[in-house]
Amino acid sequence: MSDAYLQIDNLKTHFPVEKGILFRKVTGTVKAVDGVSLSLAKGEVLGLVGESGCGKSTLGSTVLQLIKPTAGTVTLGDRTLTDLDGKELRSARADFQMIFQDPYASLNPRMTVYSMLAEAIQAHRKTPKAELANAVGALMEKVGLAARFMRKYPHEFSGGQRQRIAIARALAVEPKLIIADEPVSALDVSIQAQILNLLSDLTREMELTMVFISHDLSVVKHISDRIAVMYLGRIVEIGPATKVFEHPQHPYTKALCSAVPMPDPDSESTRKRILLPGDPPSPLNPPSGCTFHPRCPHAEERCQAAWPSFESLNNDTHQAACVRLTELNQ
Amino acid sequence: MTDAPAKPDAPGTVEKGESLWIGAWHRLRKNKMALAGGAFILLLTGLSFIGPFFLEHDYYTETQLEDVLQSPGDPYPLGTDHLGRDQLGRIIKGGQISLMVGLVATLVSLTIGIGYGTISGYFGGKVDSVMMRLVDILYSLPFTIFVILLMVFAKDLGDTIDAWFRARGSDFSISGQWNMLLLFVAIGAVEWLTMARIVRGQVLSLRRQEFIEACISLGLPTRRILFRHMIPNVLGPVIVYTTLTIPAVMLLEAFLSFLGLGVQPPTPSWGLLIKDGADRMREAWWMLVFPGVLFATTLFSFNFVGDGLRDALDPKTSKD
Repeated sequence: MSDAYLQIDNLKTHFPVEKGILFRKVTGTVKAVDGVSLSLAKGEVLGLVGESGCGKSTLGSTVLQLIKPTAGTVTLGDRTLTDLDGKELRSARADFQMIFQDPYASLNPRMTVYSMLAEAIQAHRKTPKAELANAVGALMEKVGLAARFMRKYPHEFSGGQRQRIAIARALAVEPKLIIADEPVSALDVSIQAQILNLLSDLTREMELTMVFISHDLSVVKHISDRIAVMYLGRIVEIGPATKVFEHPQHPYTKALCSAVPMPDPDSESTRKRILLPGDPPSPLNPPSGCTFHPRCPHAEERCQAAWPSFESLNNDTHQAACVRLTELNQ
Repeated sequence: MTDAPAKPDAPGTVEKGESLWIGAWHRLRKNKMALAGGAFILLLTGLSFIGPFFLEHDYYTETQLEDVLQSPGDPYPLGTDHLGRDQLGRIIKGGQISLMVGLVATLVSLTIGIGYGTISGYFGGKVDSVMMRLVDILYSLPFTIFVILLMVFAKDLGDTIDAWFRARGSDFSISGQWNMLLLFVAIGAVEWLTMARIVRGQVLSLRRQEFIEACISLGLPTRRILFRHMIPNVLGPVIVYTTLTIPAVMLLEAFLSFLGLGVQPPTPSWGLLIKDGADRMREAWWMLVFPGVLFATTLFSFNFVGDGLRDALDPKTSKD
């Protein structure tokens, strides 16, 4: 894709595992993110799904340079973020923000909403004190909070309201890219829908590019243009949201999709579930070849040889990484 | 405190929130023991520092050799000591010294401890390892011996410094306060270790909190993150520990004075008074009982306040 706004190339984040008290020896590496390439067009929302521990959140943090990548590049617009350092990186941060999972941990309990948002606004734009209150008020109304609450503290708000504050803080610097790391998984279902609607309205209004990380497929489906499925640090399938959902191609995606409960009891009772044996393998010592082969119901010997490349069945943007892609989808 | 930002000129009626500090105060107010302890400390501080204005100039050194070892009675409400000095005056002055040592030495340990712990915890990795190993080493020194050695060997340094200034034509002199100064440094230097560990532990767990990550993600400068976000959030346990350090420091001062290494006579401190009293416990019980009871009550009060503050500031009981 040439019109890519966010371009991630072969990104790897490995964490060394150290042992010893005085002389620390590296005894292994956890490959949390192991060669992820993605590109997002401006204004696109990409849903990133996968089970816990597969590296979704690490990928998010690495893209935002909260964790330094081991290898690979991240390019936003015409800037290569992975090359930036210190002051340059800090001023570049105005362009990309994160929305965190836990609205109870992501707000400083000792600051009022006003001081939190004012601080965020002033992080990259000098704003006269007189205009700050208005700017904070406008920001709060934008995320559906009454401006008269600006002198309150986080503990005086509900979970959903707190997440709105967190969203307002992320928007305060007028970013172009937002990475939302499971922003609704800590909220009640009724509140989830509100926050999702708010996010999708905001992305449209402000032309935000967003990576929406979640382990909840129904949530991702609701908000994303495209979906990427991640397994053990790699992307196994990527494509337009409806296609990935209705015609999953990779055996792992099929199993994931079959696990989504259906609201209608009749179809729920006839729903065929694909149960995967075992736990996800340790990223400390991943299986050879296709890392999914020990749990895959269709695994063959050649699956252990090498990581399969992305292939497309109909020559479109819906791609999956499986050597038996064509045989399995006939 | 940090939770009082500039008042915004917001349109309409702005509802004011209740900060965690205010909430903690509401909880503390319900704790009668802590309040009583706090009141006692305030009263004592007032008495020790304002009381002397109502007494004669050298109320605590003036000796009346004809009034030696008078039991509590008419001219001397708390009796006199073996040199005929008014025990009330000496207790007041002693309280002044003891409280001052407690507060100043704690302040010294607080400043070093917070700075050291915050830096160590925030930067982590190698910096943290080196800084904390240093603390471990200092911890392993038998600290009483360290203080005693310092007091013995640095004792004459004050005179040396004075001589140095005199040689250069300055009448600057610190030898008078040298012993006190040394006491502050010696006690502060051993007490900051625990503070540094507490702060570092807090910072370490705070650093993983999402709101600190959000600050980094916003691109806030490190100094701002440390001062606006980290330190206000570690202040709770630090305040609690501070109120418990003050009595520990006072006890240490009493101990050193008891050994004759702390405050030098004729200046009294509670530790010195207790030592003098213990020497004459048989013939003059009032010399031991009054400073002893007062000292114990003060330590109790500080501990009650500390306990109360811990309950009030504990995040588990706060309505978070």
